[in-house]
Amino acid sequence: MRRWGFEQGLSLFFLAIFLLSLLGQSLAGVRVYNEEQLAHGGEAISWSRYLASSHFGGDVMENWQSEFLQFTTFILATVWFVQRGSNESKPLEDVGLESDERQQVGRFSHPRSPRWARVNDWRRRVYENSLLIVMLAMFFGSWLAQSLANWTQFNNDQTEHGEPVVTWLSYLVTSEFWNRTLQNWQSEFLAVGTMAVFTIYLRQRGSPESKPVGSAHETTGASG
Amino acid sequence: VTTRSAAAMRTTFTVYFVLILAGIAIYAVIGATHN
Repeated sequence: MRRWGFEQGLSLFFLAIFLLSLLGQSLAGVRVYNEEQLAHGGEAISWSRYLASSHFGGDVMENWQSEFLQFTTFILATVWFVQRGSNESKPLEDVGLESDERQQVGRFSHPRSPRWARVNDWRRRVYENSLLIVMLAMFFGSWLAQSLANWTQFNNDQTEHGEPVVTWLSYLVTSEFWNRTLQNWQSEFLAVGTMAVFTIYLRQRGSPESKPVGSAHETTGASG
Repeated sequence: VTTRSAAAMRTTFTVYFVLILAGIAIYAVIGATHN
């Protein structure tokens, strides 16, 4: 059991702090929601009802979509762009999709290679892009969920203020939707760019997100 | 890699995958049904 926890430590740690943060968000969120309701002469709702509300769902999904977009763009951009000196970049000469030998696919695969990496048909095309495909699907899925939840919340606010409700397609072109979307995107892109640039000169001993402490500033992609 | 380690990796992957898909599906439905 201890061995199991050690080997899964990174994912268990992030799962735990994710759930704690989500719990905290829901507790703070229901207070904000209820304060607004009471200020407008509405009724307060329970925490469990709040968990199943578009108010909470929209807030969660708008952050999720930007995270998946961040990784989607990072995965794709690091194939085709490099940054000299960055730990987030691969060596400059490796730009592009790399050789089959380097990628251990087809005739260069080995007995422990995933089955779809050993073949040379559509299954390999899918598998060699599977990380990008899944991240992209999760991005579009959570962005869709955000739009639906924000739309419902937007219409609830419209109704409360005696304004007409709008269709989902109409909501997609409102500045409200794009304000909520882009305020998350900009921070993700800045964070990724910062990691790419800061790892040129800054170090964290022991972290695979950093180059080795004594690595030269011009060394690119030195960690495994 | 032992059988137990392989099973643990699969379990962790599945937990994350299902959690994310469930979250997306639940809030897409909640949003679409005006809750």
